[in-house]
Amino acid sequence: MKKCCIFTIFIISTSMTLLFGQSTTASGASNVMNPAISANGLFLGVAHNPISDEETNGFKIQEMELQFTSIVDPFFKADVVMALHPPHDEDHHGMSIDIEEGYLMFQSLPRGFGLRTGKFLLPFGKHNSLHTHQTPFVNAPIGVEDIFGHHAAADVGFELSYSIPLPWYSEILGILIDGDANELFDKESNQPATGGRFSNLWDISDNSTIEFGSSVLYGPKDENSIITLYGADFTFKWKDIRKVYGKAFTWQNEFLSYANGDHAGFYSIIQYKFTRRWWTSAGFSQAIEEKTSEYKTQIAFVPSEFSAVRLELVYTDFENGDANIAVYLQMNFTIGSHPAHKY
Amino acid sequence: MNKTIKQIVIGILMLAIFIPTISFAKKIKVVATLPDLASITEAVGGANVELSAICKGYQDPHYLQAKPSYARKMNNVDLLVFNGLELEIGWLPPLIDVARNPQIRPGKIGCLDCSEGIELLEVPTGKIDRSKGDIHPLGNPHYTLDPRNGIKVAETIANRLAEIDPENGDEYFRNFDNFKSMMDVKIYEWEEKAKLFKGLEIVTYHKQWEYLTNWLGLSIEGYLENRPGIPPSPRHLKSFVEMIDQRGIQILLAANYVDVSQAKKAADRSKAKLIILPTLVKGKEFIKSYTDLFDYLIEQLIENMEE
Repeated sequence: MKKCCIFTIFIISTSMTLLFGQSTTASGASNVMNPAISANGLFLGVAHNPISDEETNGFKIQEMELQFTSIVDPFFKADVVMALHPPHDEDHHGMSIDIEEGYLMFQSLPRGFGLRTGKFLLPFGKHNSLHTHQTPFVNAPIGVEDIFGHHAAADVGFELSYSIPLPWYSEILGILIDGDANELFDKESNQPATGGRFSNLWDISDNSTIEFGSSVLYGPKDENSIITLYGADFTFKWKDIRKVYGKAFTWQNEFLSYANGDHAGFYSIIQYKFTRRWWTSAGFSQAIEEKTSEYKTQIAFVPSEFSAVRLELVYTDFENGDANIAVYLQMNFTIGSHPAHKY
Repeated sequence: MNKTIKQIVIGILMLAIFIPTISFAKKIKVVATLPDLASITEAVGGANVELSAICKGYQDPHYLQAKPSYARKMNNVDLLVFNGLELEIGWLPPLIDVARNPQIRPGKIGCLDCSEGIELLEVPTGKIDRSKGDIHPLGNPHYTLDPRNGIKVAETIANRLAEIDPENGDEYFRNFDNFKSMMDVKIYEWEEKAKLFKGLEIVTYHKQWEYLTNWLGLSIEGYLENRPGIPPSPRHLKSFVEMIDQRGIQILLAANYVDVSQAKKAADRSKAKLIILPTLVKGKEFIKSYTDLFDYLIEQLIENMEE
């Protein structure tokens, strides 16, 4: 009798365990370990005068971005950013899908060191490390676009960085990449490309910082030659830290050039937050070899950190004396758990 | 002459033996996100701890910028002490990445979430989304405004310091006992003083005073921000002012870092008096410790009540 009771209790307890344990164990449908997921949408209204060959007038989806972020295990953290956007070349229609970034960050390196591997935006200057929804204006400055193309350049490889122990923030990093980023290098070449960045940031007061950076990329142009791209940047930021919704000001400048002088460009941008929800910006950029200059101004309504409406006027002055005026109206939104942006 | 040389050599040897033990006695380096947590850590860690804080007492801890110079502070510490409950979600994760300090990565011994073990208020139930404003899905994160929670935080920090630095573990626990005894006395005093305004109905600017009012027995009847983090619409401001006057509410409480123009408008148009108070240690120059903060908060509430 006693044995029978024990057996019955064993069967019941085992059944209960199976019954209540199966919800996730058996189905594998637990969402506890899901990554942080977010989507960002950029809708754009465009009007050019005269009509532009490169961009049609009308309304379009500029980009839809999906981001996944999570700790992988005690050793790695991962970020994956995918973007859907209109194709960059005229031969294709519909939408293109890009893996903008997809990399692992090592979590257990010695103090001061950082290592990531995978596909990442090239750490060259300030503008190229921004995703489209983060850029100060709707499009990249013409001086940057002339070298990197319409979209920020990304490539697959390794990035090793080191935070130099100085009284201010100082970082040096080096990359080894496949050499397939945008149109920068010869895609047919089997040689990898390399690069580096050295940046220093000082707090000049509680409210303001200045940052100086220099960058270099070095890779194959064709089977017989190598190209080197240099860059220098300077950024000043001010924000009254006593007031959450107070005024803020940013002045960002960047110069980039190929060593052989093929292409060079620069831009200078100021952004001013004058009330809790309103920003205004102005910028000047030049593609030096193309002798094309660009003047931009923008007003942005930013109800929260998850949405913004931006109205932008762009005047472009081409080498041959032609000019183009463009008006952009952009709606930017973010849903889900989007990681905080870097400074 | 020989004797003099001998004395110098012995002197140098003595210095060589003692200087390392005196000058280079290893301190545990700690960075706290909030000055409240820094103050509590200082009380528990004592002389064994070298401490810095990121957020200033007059800043809104929700909205710091992730300045790399903050990451510089975190680069060589043994312990990161933070509030948790996503209060610092807008700036702490990128700082941890930029700091490149494996010791303070999530899950490591040097990464301490002080909300562990806190009895939380306002944990949302049901479906939540951002139409409700900047809500905290894990619960109201402003728990250090109840000094009883300060004691729990101190215990959490003492345990972790003892884990990191077992040699001085007894000292951390002794410091915690002293801190707890001191806080128990102070809490009794504050509660006695607060009996003057127990049950008082007030309104506040943002949802951040709940732990304080819950402890002191005040009742929050409405918020100037009808959705956290979203400025009040003219319509809400109007109904808010009407509600204040209908209910005879006398006090509108706001933190010293919010946009007080809206709060001033509400106070000007109603019978409520606007009281702007710090919510963090060092929110005023003379608030140097966690107990100073509550001394000042209680004193200000009494003073404004009496008026």
